[in-house]
Amino acid sequence: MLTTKVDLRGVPCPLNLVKVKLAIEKTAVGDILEIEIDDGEPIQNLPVSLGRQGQEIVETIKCQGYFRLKVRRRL
Amino acid sequence: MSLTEEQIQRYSRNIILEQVGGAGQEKLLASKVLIVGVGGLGSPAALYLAAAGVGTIGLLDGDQVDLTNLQRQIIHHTADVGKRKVVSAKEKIEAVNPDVAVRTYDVWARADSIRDIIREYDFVIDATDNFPAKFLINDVCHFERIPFSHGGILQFEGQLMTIIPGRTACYRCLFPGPPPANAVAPCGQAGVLGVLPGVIGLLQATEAIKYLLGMGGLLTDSLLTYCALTMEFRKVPAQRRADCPLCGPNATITTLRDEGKVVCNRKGCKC
Amino acid sequence: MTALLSRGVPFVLGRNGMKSLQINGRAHQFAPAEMPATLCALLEKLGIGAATVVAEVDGRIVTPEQFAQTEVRDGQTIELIKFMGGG
Repeated sequence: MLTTKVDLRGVPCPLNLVKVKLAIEKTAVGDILEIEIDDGEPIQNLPVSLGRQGQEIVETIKCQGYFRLKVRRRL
Repeated sequence: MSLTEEQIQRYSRNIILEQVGGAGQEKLLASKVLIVGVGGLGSPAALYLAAAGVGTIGLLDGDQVDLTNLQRQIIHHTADVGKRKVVSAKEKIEAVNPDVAVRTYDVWARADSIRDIIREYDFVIDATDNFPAKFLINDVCHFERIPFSHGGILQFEGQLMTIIPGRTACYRCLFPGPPPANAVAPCGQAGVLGVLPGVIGLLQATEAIKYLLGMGGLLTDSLLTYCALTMEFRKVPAQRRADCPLCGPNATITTLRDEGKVVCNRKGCKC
Repeated sequence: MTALLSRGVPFVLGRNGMKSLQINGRAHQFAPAEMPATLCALLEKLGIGAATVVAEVDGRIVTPEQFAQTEVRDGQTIELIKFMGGG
């Protein structure tokens, strides 16, 4: 199983969602995508949007001023 | 091909759609659509396909911009009067989206010239304003097996149908041949509500995008009619006809031909 | 009957001896004496130029040159499809 990382700190909503979507397209179903996003709007919006798309948030780690999400591509 | 940072932003609303995504956007950028007729139907179709990021757009029209066009042919502006239509349209498309490669053909749709052009494209939009051209596009697309969208307007009404040659009903399955000369008044004489071609042209562009991306259901084997006065859309079923002169098993049309000369009494009018 | 109604089939079929045609999605009724015998007669009654449309009678395309010989019968579904050459 592979883990791909994408740093989206400093990328505002909704562009970060577009970039996550592009990254997910490059991730095989079942693999993990690790995303770094800002506190505030991004952490409020992105997990919800990903959940709506049917992806699985495996882990949310709070770091210094940002978050690291582990997302498993489900479809 | 991989999307640039600017393209990711420009096409973000497309990309975010589940049915489009980055792969779909790349497919659009690699696609070629020919728009025959850069008038009422062709103007909105060209602008929106360009904005959507269809990578190559061909424009075929042998006319020049006339003041009477501007009421509906929104790709042409007041300062363009007198300019070749394909040149005027190319300038606007490039201003909307520099990603698009525009190929221009400053000619009329004729049997001897159009086949080699149509062959180069993935999808054709029939946005012409006369019957000979409409039948010619249907026939060329049949022989070359290029899918296309038929569109037509008159006063307050419009119609369109998508044709996948060899698989779905063609224009001649519905209309075997043009109406007798002068039976149907051209728009120059009958008039046309300026917003009408906007509606139909954009429905044609929608079909082009759906076909290119392989999403949804196409308007095949049925003709969609729209009446601006009643705001009614109707889908009329249109099956392939066994006795279709073009795509039926006993076809009588086996080579390209022009369906008569285009005649109109108004100077400079190609109705 | 209700099922027929909901599908837009004219509910007066046969009632009061009226004849009925479904034309472009709308029910048209004719007294027996007024019922047009052919497509040609129907177009004339509707004030539509025979050379400006093709007809689809119960799903079958009828071209203008066949209008005079094509009989119209009670209960038929007819689509009159205009030639639209503008663009």
